[in-house]
Amino acid sequence: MPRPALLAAVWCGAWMAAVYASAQSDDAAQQIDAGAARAFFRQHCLKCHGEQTQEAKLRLDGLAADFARGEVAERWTEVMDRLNSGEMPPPEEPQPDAQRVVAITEWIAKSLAQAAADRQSSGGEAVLRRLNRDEYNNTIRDLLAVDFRPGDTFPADPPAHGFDNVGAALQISPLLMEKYLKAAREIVDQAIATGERPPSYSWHLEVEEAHRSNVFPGRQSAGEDELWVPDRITLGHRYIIKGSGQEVRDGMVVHTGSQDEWGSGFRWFRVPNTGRYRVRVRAAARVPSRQEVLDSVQRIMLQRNVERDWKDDSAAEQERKKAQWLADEWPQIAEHFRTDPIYGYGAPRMKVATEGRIVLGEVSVDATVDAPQVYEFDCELTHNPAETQGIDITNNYRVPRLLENNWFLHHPDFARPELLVDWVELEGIYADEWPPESHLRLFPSPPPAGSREIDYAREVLARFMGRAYRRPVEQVEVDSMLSLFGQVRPHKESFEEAIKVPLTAVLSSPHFLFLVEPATAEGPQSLSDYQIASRLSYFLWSSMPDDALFTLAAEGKLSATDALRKQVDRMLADPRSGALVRNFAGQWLGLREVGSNPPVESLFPRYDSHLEESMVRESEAFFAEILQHDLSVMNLIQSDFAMLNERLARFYGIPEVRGDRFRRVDLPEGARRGGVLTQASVLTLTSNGTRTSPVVRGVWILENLLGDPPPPPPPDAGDLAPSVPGIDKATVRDRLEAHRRIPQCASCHQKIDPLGFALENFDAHGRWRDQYGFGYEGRVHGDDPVVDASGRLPDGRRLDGVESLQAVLLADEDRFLACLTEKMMIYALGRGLEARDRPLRDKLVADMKADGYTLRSLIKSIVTSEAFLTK
Amino acid sequence: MGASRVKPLSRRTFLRGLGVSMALPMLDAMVPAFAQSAQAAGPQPRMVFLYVPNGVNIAKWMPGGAGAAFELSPTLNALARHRRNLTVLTGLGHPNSQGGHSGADTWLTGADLHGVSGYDYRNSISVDQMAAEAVGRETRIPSLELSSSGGTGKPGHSHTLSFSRDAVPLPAESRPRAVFQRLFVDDTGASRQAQKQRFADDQSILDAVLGQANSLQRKLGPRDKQKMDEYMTSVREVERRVERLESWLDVPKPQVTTDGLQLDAMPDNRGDRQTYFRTMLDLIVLAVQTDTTRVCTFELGREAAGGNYDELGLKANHHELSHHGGDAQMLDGLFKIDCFLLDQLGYFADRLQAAQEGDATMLDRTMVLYGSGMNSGEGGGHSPKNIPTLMLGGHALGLKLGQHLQFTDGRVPMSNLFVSMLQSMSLPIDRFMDSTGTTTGLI
Repeated sequence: MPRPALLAAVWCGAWMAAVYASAQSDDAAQQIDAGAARAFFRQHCLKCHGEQTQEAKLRLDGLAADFARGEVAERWTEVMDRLNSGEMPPPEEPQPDAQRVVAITEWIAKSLAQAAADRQSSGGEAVLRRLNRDEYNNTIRDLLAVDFRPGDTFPADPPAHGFDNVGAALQISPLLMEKYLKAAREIVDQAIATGERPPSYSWHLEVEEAHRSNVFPGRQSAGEDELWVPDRITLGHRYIIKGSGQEVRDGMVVHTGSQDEWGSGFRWFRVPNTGRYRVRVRAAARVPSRQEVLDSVQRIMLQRNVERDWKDDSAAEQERKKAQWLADEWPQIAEHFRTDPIYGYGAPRMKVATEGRIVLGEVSVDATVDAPQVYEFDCELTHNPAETQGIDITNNYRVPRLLENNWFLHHPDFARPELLVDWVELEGIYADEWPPESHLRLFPSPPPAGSREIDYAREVLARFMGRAYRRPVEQVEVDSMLSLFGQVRPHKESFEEAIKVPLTAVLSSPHFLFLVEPATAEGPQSLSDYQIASRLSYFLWSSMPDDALFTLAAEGKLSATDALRKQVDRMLADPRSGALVRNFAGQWLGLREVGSNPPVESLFPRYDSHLEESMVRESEAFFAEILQHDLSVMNLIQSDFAMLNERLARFYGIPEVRGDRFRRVDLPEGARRGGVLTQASVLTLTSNGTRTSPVVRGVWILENLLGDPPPPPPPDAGDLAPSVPGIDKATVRDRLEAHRRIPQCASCHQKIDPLGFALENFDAHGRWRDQYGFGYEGRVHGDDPVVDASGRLPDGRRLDGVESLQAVLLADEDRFLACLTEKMMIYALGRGLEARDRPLRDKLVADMKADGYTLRSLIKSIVTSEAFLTK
Repeated sequence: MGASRVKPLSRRTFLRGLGVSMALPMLDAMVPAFAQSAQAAGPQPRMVFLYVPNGVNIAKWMPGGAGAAFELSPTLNALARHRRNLTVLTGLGHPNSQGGHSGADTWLTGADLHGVSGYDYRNSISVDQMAAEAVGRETRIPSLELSSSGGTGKPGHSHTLSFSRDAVPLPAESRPRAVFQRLFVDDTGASRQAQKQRFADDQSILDAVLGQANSLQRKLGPRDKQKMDEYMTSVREVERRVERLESWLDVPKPQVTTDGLQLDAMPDNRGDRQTYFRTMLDLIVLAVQTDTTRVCTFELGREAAGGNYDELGLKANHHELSHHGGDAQMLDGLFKIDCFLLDQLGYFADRLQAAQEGDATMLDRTMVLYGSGMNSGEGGGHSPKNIPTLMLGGHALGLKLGQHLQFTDGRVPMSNLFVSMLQSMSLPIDRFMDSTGTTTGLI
């Protein structure tokens, strides 16, 4: 059965392109100007749309090249669409040369885009930028040492130019303001500890007690009473240890991760206090060898034959049939289990979640049965009289269903990675220290004896405001917050309760929420050292400056080039620079889209949550490796190493990578990996869940590696036809070629498709293939078409497969470096780029080439550039 | 919130979760003073939007004939008993939308998500919020947003149908128990007192930060000033919202028992799907019946994923089936899902019809718009043209029902229908997004 077609998402990528039209000196569009367009009109259009006649009331002579004016732009758009669709000139008229039409329409498209960009232009200055969600979370973490993420409940930040830290697009809405206020209140509540250390209890549960059914523990041990839930809710029982119905071995409950298996854990309890709890699970793993898998399958199959097909035969006859089966049928079956990497099992995945389905964590358990280990997970639990809680432990390792006939996968004897759970403990309220760090940040020392409350409030507020506003605060600012304190104090029971109100106001203040850079004069001006400190820290850490930066700013020593370069080294070495990897690389490469439209299970049974997570981590680790070890950025295009964990290595068919940790792996000969284009993340996010989309992949390369987003499609760009007349098994290429026969589609697709086709050997989740699968649920049969990854670029260069594509990209080094530099500039400056930024971009590229092609050199050049240091 | 406000009665009204008699005595003193005029006028118009992802099997969906003499299609047959209250609209679409998997993002907005310069994605206000801005002032909850996935999802894969005037997605609630809690469970006395104090604190905080913004404003360059304006506008709006919440604080919520409501049903529990949908629909019925809100949206499933209808004997999930490529077996699977979902719609209409409100039923005063943001077509794509659309109920609001309104593909924007609906809510609105008028033949 042919897989269904979809081209719907094809153009999304193109539309996502930044409106900033980047420079390509060889671009056809640049050879066109208004004069050429007029000449074209004279030749082909004015007969019907000129001075004499105006068919459809459209007159083109004298159409100004003023793309900024609304009604003029609309007419140009109309012209572009009609030319693109091939509707005009009408068939009975002389037809223009197709290349010329392409050149004209691309010129119009780029001119329109440029005009739109100019309208949106911030004149090359970063617009007052509020913190985005991640920046908010990180800032709160660094400001108050509370580690919950209130920003996760905020509405998603609108991305612009590919990034969600562009000031002009980061709006504030009433809904967001409401959430800011609520978050501020919660943060302050959590940060301030009132009273004594909350009592901490610890509950220990041997899960095997409940291996056959639920157990209501009757025995009393310290603290157990605290989990008591009264009659009305639980029918007279206290908490319950969950019965898993699983085998118990060595005093541990065995979880195989097969379908319909229940988890271990306990439920129907109620914690006595709201706060942070720690879940500890003592667990071990048993991972069967490949031989054990083979043995188990053979045993299961033979047993079934005996019980079902040979049951009426004599023992001797059964023996004979068995020997025959082992000789004739088994070798074929065994071949699959012997060769497919998925039966080289990894460690079981222990997933710990609350009954409310909040996943506390999922880890690979590699402790052996003789030496089980304790794994820890933290969670927030709320004391709520109306609700009970639960902790659920499952084995989330999935053995994919690869064979059409896979009944044996559900057989209890089938060998699969086993998770053994010994016991589970819950401890809380869990606090490392009391009062907690967050409290001490606000109140480093108690009020001096005999001091007035108001003086202490002033001291607390002044200190906090300086850090929250990321600059020295003025007396009058403190005064206004102090008056808020005075205003509410009579209504509050304690000093702490009263000071919470102005503290909440500080966290709702524009000085906290925005990176404020006031204008002291007309025109561009140098930023203050404090403002530079914030620009640096939000660029490299997505968070507020630390004490070292504040100190340098206070001494006025930050703006010197040497100091800035030194700070870059220091800050990149800090773990907080992980934010640069996640937020910059994550958005540039589109990693946040992984999982939005996941490969469907029936066609891609190897895909699971662990693989999905590993895909993203691979690309992040890869970028981090290049960043931290000063490797050439050309490794992003092609590398002889990959960053892998065991799960991904198994998926890629690369042997001998053990454990869930990502590490650098030198790629063996024939691995067919290396560089972002070979990474499952990129290959998956450019596919549509059921099949690859060469168009999306081509657009992705143009946009993210070459900085040359194609113009938007004509309005009638349709879907790919699901089938092609005359072809029984129509591949994506066949279908796309049918589409490309339409002339107005051909021009753009010439540029896009060859790039995407070069990656056709990677399927919709990035697995290598030589042949398409037209069988049941995508299975490959002998006569299915082989993958053709060849193509020809408009400039005549031939492509065939990923390596040839990498060679072309390496040869076009300057285009890639310019593209990467532009993306980094947008991210660093928090604004879109403009024509006037081009000289800086070119200088940054030259600097980077002169300095080892490293990200570090690019970052250092950016932060010492005038664009970064002025407003 | 003047001194003239009537102190609300403490007596509660009782409603059973699922019952025969649902007549609700509305006592004037039980609603805030400012809402009384509306109550005095009798039952109010409401609108409910129900969204199904992944389109439908369009071949089995399209009715035969046009006008009042139309024939129900195999799928629509599930609504045969409501034919009198049903208008099928075909040929409507969102010309601005890209289709694909952003159907839920644009179903009620009609936006060109990638058409605003300076943004990679930008939605616009949804029709329900347009209504809620006006009629929502009179109810405890201006509008109720529900979805089986909850939250807001991601841009392009929305988990909510509702977008504010600032194009912010409004997070939807997925858990029936949380919905019930919000609609019908009062806060305890102590927490009410604490809330009062909190509202007062909020107002002081908002005053303080507004003052800061004002003095900061003077020090900013022209472009930054615009941003600070946005901030100040938002702060003022939040002040108004706090006032609103405060005014409802002492009004007890309508008391509804949980009898018959499966508040712990989950959409992804195997075999629980129907129970979940019906529970959520029951909650919508109760929400509008008690006049807790007059505007609801409910996204029954998210695009581009999930929906393993194994209870219908289907092997592929809803999204896979929607890319059917013309395959007969897959189309049949889609048909089964379509019928199942229309059964839920039929149940919802039954419930609304069973509630008599004066001279009409609740269904007569409730416009239920049911549909999808895409048409998976004959080839299995996700096109925003000829999107499946049903209007159920609203007879007493002037809607002409019991007909098939056929529009030429691509000519009439869906937004025209939204204008008609807004007008049927008695709102003086004559444009929505790319509307070119109202929907001919509906009113």
